[in-house]
Amino acid sequence: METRNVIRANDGKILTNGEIYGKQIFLAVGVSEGDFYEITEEEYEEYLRVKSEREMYIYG
Amino acid sequence: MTIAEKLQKIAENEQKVFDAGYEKGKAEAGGDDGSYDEGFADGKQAEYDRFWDTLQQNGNLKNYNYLFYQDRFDDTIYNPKHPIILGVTSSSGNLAVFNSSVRITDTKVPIIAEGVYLNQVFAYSKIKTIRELRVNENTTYNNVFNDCSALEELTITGAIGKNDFNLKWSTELSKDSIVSIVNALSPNTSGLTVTLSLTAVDNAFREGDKEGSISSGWNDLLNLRQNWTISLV
Repeated sequence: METRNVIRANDGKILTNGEIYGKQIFLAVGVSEGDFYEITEEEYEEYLRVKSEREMYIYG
Repeated sequence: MTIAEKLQKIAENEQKVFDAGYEKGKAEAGGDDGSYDEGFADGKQAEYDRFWDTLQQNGNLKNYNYLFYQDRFDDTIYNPKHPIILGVTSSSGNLAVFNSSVRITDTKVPIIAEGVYLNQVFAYSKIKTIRELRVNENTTYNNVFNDCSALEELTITGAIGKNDFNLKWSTELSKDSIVSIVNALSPNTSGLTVTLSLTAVDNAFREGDKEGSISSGWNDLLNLRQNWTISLV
């Protein structure tokens, strides 16, 4: 069985590839770790806030 | 008659229903011979049946949008007789059913959401237990569990396969719930991500006392659905 690739962010950071966000990410088979970069936790929370506001506005 | 008008009428007739049940029970028991409790129970059951059969249209209600929103119901009053079938197919989907519900802690009955669009259904609620959320690979999720910080028990039946599934806010989620979620992830999809609370997974699968030391049980679970990215936040 193929072993999962796991990537971990440094303290206070969140990893992302623009679509997936996490502190520890167990990548699905075929997902490349090279696409991931770090953002701050504050940037991640802001992303979530904007995303949910946009989606709740669009979808009710 | 709208649901609000029906509720109003039920509330106005509540005492009449209770009295009718009481008198019926009393009469059938032959008067005041110690059968008061039985008559009272019959009346109470009749009142319960009438309320929930009316509200849930004898189990046929499909639009529960905003029904249990905010503080309308508490755990005493909220006691559905029938499974909650979410069947809205319009573009805004099954919207905010338990959104911001701060007085209900247990959904009590199955919530059937097969093949429908779930829109903020449990977001911002203080629900601790979702007894059963029944979904299929065509069920879609939009901000369904946002800020469900009180959630401890979630049982998923069916399959999750249409889009990402995010429970990052649920730091109290139990091990059984995490297992239920991962087992429900469809093996037939690709490119999707399930996001869980790092705190919840660490607490559920910690080996020994060392924080961050995750047991082999977690690795076994990961190996079940290698087609899914599992993100811990």
